[in-house]
Amino acid sequence: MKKILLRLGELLCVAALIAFIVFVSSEEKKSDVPIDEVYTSVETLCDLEGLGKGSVTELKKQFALDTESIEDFYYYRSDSVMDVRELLILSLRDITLQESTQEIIRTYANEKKQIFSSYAPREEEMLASHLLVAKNGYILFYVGDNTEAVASEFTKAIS
Amino acid sequence: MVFSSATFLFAFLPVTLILYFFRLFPGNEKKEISKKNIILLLSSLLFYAWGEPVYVLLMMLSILFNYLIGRDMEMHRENKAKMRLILIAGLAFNIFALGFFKYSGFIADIFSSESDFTAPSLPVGISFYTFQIISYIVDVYRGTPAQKKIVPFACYITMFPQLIAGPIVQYGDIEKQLYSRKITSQKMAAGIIFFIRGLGKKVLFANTIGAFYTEVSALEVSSLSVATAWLGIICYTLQIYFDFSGYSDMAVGLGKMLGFDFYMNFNFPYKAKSVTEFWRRWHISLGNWFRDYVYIPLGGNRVSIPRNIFNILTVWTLTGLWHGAAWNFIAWGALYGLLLIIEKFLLKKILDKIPSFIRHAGTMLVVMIGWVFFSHESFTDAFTYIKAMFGLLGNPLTDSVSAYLLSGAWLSAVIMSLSAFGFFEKLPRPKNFRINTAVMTVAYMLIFILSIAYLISETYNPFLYFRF
Amino acid sequence: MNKEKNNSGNNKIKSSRGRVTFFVLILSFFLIVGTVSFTGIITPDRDFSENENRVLASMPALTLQSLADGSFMKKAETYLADQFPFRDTAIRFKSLVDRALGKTEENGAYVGKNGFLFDKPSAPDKTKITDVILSVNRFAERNTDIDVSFALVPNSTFIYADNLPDYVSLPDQKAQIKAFYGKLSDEITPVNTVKPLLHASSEHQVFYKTDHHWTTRGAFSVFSEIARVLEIDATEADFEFFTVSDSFKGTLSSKVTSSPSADSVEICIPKDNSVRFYIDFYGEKEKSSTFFYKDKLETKNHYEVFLGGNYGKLTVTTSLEGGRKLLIIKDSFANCLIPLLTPYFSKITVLDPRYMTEGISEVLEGDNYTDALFLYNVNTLLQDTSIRDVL
Repeated sequence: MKKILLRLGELLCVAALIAFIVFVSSEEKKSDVPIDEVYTSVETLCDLEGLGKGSVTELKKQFALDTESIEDFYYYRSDSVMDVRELLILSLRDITLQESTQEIIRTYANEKKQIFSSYAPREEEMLASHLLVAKNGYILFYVGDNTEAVASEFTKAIS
Repeated sequence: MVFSSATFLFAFLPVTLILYFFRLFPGNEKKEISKKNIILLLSSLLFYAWGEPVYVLLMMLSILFNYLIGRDMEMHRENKAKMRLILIAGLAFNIFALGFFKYSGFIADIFSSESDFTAPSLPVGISFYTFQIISYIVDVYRGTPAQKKIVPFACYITMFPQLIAGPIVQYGDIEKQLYSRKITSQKMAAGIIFFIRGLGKKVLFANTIGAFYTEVSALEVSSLSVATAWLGIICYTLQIYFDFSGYSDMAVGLGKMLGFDFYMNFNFPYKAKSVTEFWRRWHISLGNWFRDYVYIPLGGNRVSIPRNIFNILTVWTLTGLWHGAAWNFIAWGALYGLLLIIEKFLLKKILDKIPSFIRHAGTMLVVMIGWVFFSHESFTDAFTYIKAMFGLLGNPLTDSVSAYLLSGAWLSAVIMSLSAFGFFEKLPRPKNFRINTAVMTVAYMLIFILSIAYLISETYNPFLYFRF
Repeated sequence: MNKEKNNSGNNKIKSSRGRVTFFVLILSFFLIVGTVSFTGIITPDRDFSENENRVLASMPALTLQSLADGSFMKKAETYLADQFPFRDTAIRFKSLVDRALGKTEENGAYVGKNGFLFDKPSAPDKTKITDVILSVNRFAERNTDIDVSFALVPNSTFIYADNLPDYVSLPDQKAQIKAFYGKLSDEITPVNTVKPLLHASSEHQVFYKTDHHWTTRGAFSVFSEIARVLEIDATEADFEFFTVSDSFKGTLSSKVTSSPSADSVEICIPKDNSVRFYIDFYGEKEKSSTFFYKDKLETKNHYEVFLGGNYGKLTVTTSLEGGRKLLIIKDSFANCLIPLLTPYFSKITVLDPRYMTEGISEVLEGDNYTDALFLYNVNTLLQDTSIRDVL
C-alpha cells in the first residue's frame, strides 16, 4: 500500500470522525413545516374514526402539560373510557422543552397502560405499543393501529 | 444484543454457527479460515448493530483508521521516531473518540455546572473495543507485525463473544489464532460448559439476587436498618460478581466454540485474602491491560519508591475512571490504589502473621465497602449507607424490611456464596466414566433449561457493567 | 513480563472415552437449541395468552426509521420472547423453582399461607384519591334528591392478613377506610364493611384464594349492612346459596402459575322469585333474564359467571311497580351482589366507570333515581381515576 494512500485514508477517517461527532451532537432545529401540513400527512394513516377533537383544557387535564409551551396542536380522543385511541400532534414554542414534554407524555401513556393492565389486555397492549416521536420541535403521540407507517410519515413530513 | 436472550440463543447463535462451520472449501484450510473470519466479522457487526444501529459506523471507522495506522507503522519500522509519531496519532484518535463519547458530559459538568451541552449517548462496548484497539497499535509499535488484511484485524476487534463486555484480549494473545485455530470436540464441549455456566451465573444467580438489591436501593438510604444495609450490600456484592463473571464465562465459552482461547477473566475473587490478591482475581484482563500498557510504560516498579507510588495511584485512578464517567468511580479506583500501596509498602510483613480467616474476612469487608461507593453516584449517599451499616444513623438493628429480605433471599444468598467461594468446584467427581458423563450432561443441561425458563419469564435482565 | 498462563481448560485429554463425554455434551446442547429453534419456526404465532392474561407481541414491521432508532430490534426481541414455543411451560417451571427457593412474591402477587394468594397493592396516589372524594362529594351535593351511600370494601390482604407471607407488612386498610369515610360529605352514608367481613370470615371463606375478588359469602356479609343503609327489609333466610364451580383459578393464579389452589364459586339468589326481571345490556349483549352465565364456567375466569363480565352500563328492570330506583356505581366487586338487590327495586342501573362511554349526567337524565350506591374495593379505588372522569 502506498504511503500517500495510507495518509489520505487516515486523514479521511479523521474527517469522518469529526463529521460523525458533529452529526451526533447537532442540535435539533425547529421545523418550519406548518402543523396543518404535518397533520394532513398522517391523518389518512391514523385510525381516527369516531374520535372527537379535544380542546386546550382537555389537553391540559389529560396530560398535565404546560399549555404555555405549546404553539399549536391537534388532539383527537374518544369520549368512551374504554376506547384508548388517541392522536396528539404538538408544535412547541421552545424546542428545549422537547425532551421534558416527551417525558410527560410517556409517563401519561405508561400510567394509562397500568390502569388497564389488570382487566383489559387488548387496551393494555395498544397503550404498550404507543407511538411517541419528538423531533424538530414537533411531538407526535398516537395510540392506535399502523404505528410504524405513521412514524415514518411523520418523520418525513417534518423534514 | 445480549447473550442471555431468546433472540441470541435461538436465532443468532444457531444461524451463525451453521454458517461458520459449513464447509465451503473442503480440504482447503486457508480458504476455510478466511471464510470463517468473514462470517465471524459479518455476524459480529450484526450483533453490534442490533443494539447500536448508528454507532456501529463509529466502530467501523475506528477499525479502518487503526488498521491504516498499523500498516503505516509497519512501513516505517526502521524509523523509530516516525513510528512513535504515527503511534501518537493513533492513540490521540482513539483516546479522543473514547473521551468524547464517554466522558464529554462529565468533563462539561466539571467546567460549568449549568452547561447547555447535551452529551451523546454512550456507545455500548466502546471502553472494551477501544482498549483492544490500543493494545493492537501498541503491540505493533513494540514489534508485532501489523495485519496486512483488514478482515482478521476487524475480527479481532469486533468478535461478538468479547465485544460488548470483555474479557479484554491483547492482540499478541490472539494474533496466531486469527490465522489458525482448531476446533476439537474437547474445545467445543469446554465451550458449551463455560457458556452454560456463565448463563446460569447471570440468569439464575445474578438476576435473582439483584432483584433483592433493587428493593433495598429503592428505599431512602437514611432509613435503612443495620441488617437491611448489610443484606443489601451482600446482595449487590453477589450480583456484580455473578453478573460480570457470568458474562465473561459466556464470552470464553463462545470463543472456544469458535476455536478461540481467551484467558479467564475471573478466578474466584471472593476467595482473596488481600486486596492485592483480589485484583489478581477480579477482571484480570483489565488489570493486565493497565499493567502492560500504562503501568510498565510509566516505569512500573523499576523506579524510586515515590515514583512507584505515583505510578500505582495513576493506574488505579484511571482504572476507576474507566468504570464510569463519575466521581464515585474515580474515588473507588483511587481508594483501591491507596490500599494496594498500603499493603505493598506498609503491611507486607504484618499480613503474613494474621490468620488467613481474618485476612479473608477483612478483604471481603474492604471489597464490600468498595462496592458501596461503586453503586452510589452520590458520595453523601455512599457515606450514609456505610453509616447505616455500622449503626451510626441511630436506626434499629432489624426491621420489617430486613426480615422480609432475609426470609426471601437467605437460601439463594447461601447457595451463591458457596459458589463464589468455590465450594461446588471442590465436590468430588464420580470415578466411573459413564456415571460421570451422565451426571455432567444432566447437570449442565438442567442448568441450561432452567436458565432458559428464567430468561423467558423475566423482564428484569440488566447487566451492571453495561456502562462501558 | 510475567504473563501467567492460567488454566483455559485445555488440558489435552487423548482418551477416546473423554471424546464420548464431549460428544454427548455437544449433542445434548445442540439438540436443545435446535429443537427450540425449529419448534419456534414451525409453530404459528399466538395472539393472546390465557395463562398470562395479556396480548402477545406480533412480528414488528420493518421500516428504515425503526431500524435506525433501534425500535425494530427491541420489538423483535419482545416478539421472539413472547412467541417462544414453550413459554407457558417455562413460566410454570420457574414458578415452581421460586416456590422451592422460598420466594414469597411473584409477578406482583404474594404467595401466602394455606394456599392463599394476594394482590400486592401499589402505593396509593394521594392526589387521585382527593380527586375522587371531591367528585363523589360533588355528585351528592348536585343530586340532593338521591340518597347516596358509599361502601368501601377492604381487600383479602386485610381480612386474611394472618395468611400473608411472613414479614410482609401492609398499610392498615381499616384505618384507610375510616379516613376515606371521614372525608366524604355528610350527605353520603358510609357502609360498615370491615366488621361484617371479619365476622363472616370466622364461618366462611370471604375472599377467593386465587383471585382478588370477594366470594359470594363475603359479598353477602356486607349486603346485610347495605340493606340496613338502603332501608331494605332483608334477612339471611330470604336467600339460598348454590355452588356452581369448585375449580376456579382466578387472576392471581395467572401470576403464580405453580399454585395448586383452586376455589369454589357460589351463587346467591333470593328464595322469593315472585319478582321477575330482565337485564338490558344496551347492545353489548342480548337482553337476559338471568344474572348467571353458565358458559363462563367453561372458560378460565369463572368469576364471569356473574353478569358475564364487566359492562359500562346495564339496567335491571323488575316487575315491582312504583318501587325505588337504584343507581350503582361500582367496580367488579359488586357483580355477585346485584342479584340480591333485585326484589327491592323497580329499576337498578349499574355503572362501571372504567367501561363507560358516556358521562353520568346523561344517565341521570334517563330517569329519576331515588338511591345511589358506590361500591368499591380499596385497592381499585386507590389506583383508579375513572370515577373522577365520569362523575
